[in-house]
Amino acid sequence: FKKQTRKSWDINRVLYQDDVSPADAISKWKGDFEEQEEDIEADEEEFLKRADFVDNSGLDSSVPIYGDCLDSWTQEAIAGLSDRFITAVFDKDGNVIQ
Amino acid sequence: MSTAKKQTIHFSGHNNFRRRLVLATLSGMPVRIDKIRSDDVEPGVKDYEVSFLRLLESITNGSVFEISYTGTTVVFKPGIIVGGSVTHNCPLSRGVGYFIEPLLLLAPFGKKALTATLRGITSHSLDPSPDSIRTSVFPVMQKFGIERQELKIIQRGATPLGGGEVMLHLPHLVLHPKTLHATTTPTISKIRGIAYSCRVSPASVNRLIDGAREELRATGCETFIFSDVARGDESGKSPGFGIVLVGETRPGFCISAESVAVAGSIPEDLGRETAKKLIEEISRAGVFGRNQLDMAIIFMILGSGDVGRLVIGKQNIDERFVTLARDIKKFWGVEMRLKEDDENENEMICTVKGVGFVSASKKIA
Repeated sequence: FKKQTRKSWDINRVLYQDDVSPADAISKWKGDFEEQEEDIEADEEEFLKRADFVDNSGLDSSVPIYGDCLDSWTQEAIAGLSDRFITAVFDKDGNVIQ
Repeated sequence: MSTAKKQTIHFSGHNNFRRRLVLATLSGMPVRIDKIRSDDVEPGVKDYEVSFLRLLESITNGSVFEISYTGTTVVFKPGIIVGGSVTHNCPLSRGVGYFIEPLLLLAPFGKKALTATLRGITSHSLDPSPDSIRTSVFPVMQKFGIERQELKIIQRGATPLGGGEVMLHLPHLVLHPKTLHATTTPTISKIRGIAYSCRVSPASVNRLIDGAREELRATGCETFIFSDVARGDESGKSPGFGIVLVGETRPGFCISAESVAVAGSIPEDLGRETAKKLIEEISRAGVFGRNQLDMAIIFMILGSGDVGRLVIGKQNIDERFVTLARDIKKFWGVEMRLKEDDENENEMICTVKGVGFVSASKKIA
């Protein structure tokens, strides 16, 4: 698999380039974004999500379509997101202190 | 905005049909939308789009729309937003949410308070349910200083026959939305939800709640899900159930996710799936979810000439966002700037300068 060596695009440049389709604008910008991660799986995931979005906007719906990304949310993965939540603090008997 | 420029703005394709008409009405600029499903087996505007045009006509004064013979071209000349009291029968192809969303953007800039009664399907998989609008879209409006909105579900109607009814009351009229400065993503302090059903066993609601709670346990966050079982007169013609989950934060931003049952849905699985959707939405960071972003950006643009700042999750900057930015530029000629957030690499700060817009209905002639 050949690594992408595309030049990164500034989102502010592609955002208003009317000759670049919205889908291309996002992929041009993300070209740089995904390169840093060098994660093929993430690339694929990103790709799937984008494909979903085309359908979604075609139906003029504001309800997002999730696709396969939901499968990655195992209990461990959710627990790993703990910094986004204010959680209860338990004492050693399992009672809530805070 | 100068009244001199009344040049027709041109769009192609049926995408973002509602949003473009809303922006046209707000800016007072006529639009022409062509190539509407021109390559489709069934070309032209759909029944719900015509229905939306009719609704737009009934809350405005002086709006004129023309649909070409083939239905693939629509010309819309917006009038003044009036508001008042309207009753609208929504087609069964879309949910009432399809019609409520644009009303929320228009009503605060009208002449009179808006009271709309909408009949049709209240829970449709393509459109936000009234519960999700009330719990996650109303808080967005409050952030812009638009308050006291009410959305009452009189009858719940599921697909395919509908028979639901909601009453939307938007009494607060403003000159400008307030400028928003939200530069940090707040943490979720509690999770709330509503599980609802009509014409099915009330046990499905509890099963929905069980499924969602089980999945959300790993977050360690306080969770409470209300149940709402529509009985007798409260339920429409078809059976159905669904769930809305909302992650609330101390500063008042709410991120939500929802699911509606289709034939053969198992309540527990639907609850679990919705919980995962909420987690996904929260993990994307930024103060607003994807279902709220459009409204937030439009209100920021309409602001009173100040610069507003908004933190957006990088993943939420998608095609929809790009088209929104381009549409806005076409109407008002303003651009927004995105810059990397130094504190979080998954976020970007969006800077928007309000256009100092004054609705045509508020101008002294």
